[in-house]
Amino acid sequence: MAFVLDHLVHLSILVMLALSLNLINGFAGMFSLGHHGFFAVGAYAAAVVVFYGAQGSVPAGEAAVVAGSASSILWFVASLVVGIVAAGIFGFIVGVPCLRLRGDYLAIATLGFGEIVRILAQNTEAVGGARGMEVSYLLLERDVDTQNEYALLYAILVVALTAVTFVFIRNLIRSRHGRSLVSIREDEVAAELVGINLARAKLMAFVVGAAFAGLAGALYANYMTQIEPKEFNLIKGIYILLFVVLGGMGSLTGTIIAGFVLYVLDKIVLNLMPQEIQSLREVLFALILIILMISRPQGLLGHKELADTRFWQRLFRRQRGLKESS
Amino acid sequence: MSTAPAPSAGVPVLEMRGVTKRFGGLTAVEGFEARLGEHEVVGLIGPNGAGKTTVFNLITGVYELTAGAIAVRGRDTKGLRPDQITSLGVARTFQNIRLFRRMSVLENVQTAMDLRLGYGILASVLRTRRFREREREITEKSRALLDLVGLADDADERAGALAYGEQRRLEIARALATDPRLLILDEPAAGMNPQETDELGEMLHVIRKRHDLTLLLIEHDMKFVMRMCERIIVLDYGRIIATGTPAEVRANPAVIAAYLGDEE
Ligand SMILES: Nc1ncnc2c1ncn2[C@@H]1O[C@H](COP(=O)(O)OP(=O)(O)OP(=O)(O)O)[C@@H](O)[C@H]1O
Ligand SMILES: [Mg+2]
Repeated sequence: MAFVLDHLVHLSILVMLALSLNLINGFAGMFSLGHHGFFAVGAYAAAVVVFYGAQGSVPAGEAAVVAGSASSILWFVASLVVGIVAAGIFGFIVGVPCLRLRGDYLAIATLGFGEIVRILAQNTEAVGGARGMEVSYLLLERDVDTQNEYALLYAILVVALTAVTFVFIRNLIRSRHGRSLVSIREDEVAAELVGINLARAKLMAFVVGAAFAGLAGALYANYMTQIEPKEFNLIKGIYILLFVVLGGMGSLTGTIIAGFVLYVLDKIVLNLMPQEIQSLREVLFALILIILMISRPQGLLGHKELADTRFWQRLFRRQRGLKESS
Repeated sequence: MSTAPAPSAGVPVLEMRGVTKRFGGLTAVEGFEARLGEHEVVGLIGPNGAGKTTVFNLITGVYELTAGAIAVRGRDTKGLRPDQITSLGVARTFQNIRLFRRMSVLENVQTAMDLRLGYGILASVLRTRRFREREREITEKSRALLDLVGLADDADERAGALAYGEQRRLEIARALATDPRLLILDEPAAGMNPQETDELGEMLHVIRKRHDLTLLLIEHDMKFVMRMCERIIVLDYGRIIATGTPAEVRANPAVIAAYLGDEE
């Protein structure tokens, strides 16, 4: 049970991360390769809150934080909020120079950002340097007895917040903000000439995308006992980029489906393979990404959502016209 | 339809003085002058490469001026971004159609109404009443515009899937969605057969009346220009070589020479 829930937590966090990346890469059409950097900022910001806030505020004489206490839960919530805000600020900081960059240049600049975050974390003693940071459990005591309970609680929380992320981004896309972003992706000059403020729309995508990556990072940090700089490497970035590209740039449901498929392949099928193949895991990701970008750059669902596919409509005998008029 | 404040009498809708654009060593436009009053229909003609599209790009802020000044409804556009110039009441179509191809026909028009949708991110996410009301409003207006250009039945079609002539009409609907006072059209009849061109002419007349517009149009189809326009500006090698009524321009030796030169 705990095994399944543990995977669910990890998958949900990755899906949240990929959904927010899709806002930037898929809908806004800005090919960012540094999304794991925002994830790292969120994780580290949350870890700092837990370490210096929750643990730091434990009165002398008491051993450690009491997980599940009212103050611990408050610190937990605070760590999520700080993770979101910190990553959002970084989204703005990275977004501003990216306004002038296009295509490959934007990809390289964001890739550089991801590396800078990791290297900074590695060399900053206050956040543990290369050793990383310890993150105590705040929500619930986690030991042999409560292992299942903890996993269940956390899985519910993370899945619920991933659902919130999905609804948030979907609603944003189906509004003037989404139309602006997609129109920029389609034709930047025409978009600007029908009155779209390019800088504002692009920065919005970066800040919102980064903020949700920050939330994913904060949830991740709180779930792990320890975070290390080397986890937040480019491979992570490529992993979630695969979710987005395979599912379809501009399809949120596609991201979720692709995420599930890839995660199962990675964690279950790959684990059954001989060691030699397993050791090629990272090479395989990069390879799949390259093959996909060349052979089917629109991904599984293209820019459609699951409910817009013929498969789904046949399944539920739903007519396009009916949906429109409701 | 019009929500923009009425311009005070006497202020030209568009005024261009000494407008010059150089690309490195190439002078694409030099000393361009124009003054367009309300409801005027003015044609901009000239041989290929004369600088006509460049003039449009200067008006809409796609290019920065090398020298000179442009005012839209009395407001100097210097330093304004293209979207800000659009909000002053200028809209355009493109010589090479530039639609949002993977968006629906309706969404193409809705996108161009962004300027009048003031709601924020939270309103979008929470689907507030304000959001729903504003969206319903612009959807209705967008459908009315599609109706006007004869695309009402194609609202849910992908813009890129439309036929060529339909795409040109969608560009016009999208331009109108920004609620312009001045509509500038870059070769609207290009690639159309005589019948389609006639229909376009009629449509533009209706639109001009209904939307209270000043029109500036580039066109190579002389019959179309002569019939549509009250006044014509002729450009050759970036300079104005003639202006006047269609009859005057047609009889102007400099114009004939420029076009004959072009034919060779
Ligand atoms: N962005 C640019 N950079 C360099 N040169 C340019 C640029 N835009 C236009 N030009 C040059 O300016 C001149 C005028 O071009 P423009 O497109 O305005 O002509 P046009 O009158 O619209 O011609 P056509 O009838 O073929 O559309 C041409 O010589 C063109 O090559
Ligand atoms: Mg041209």
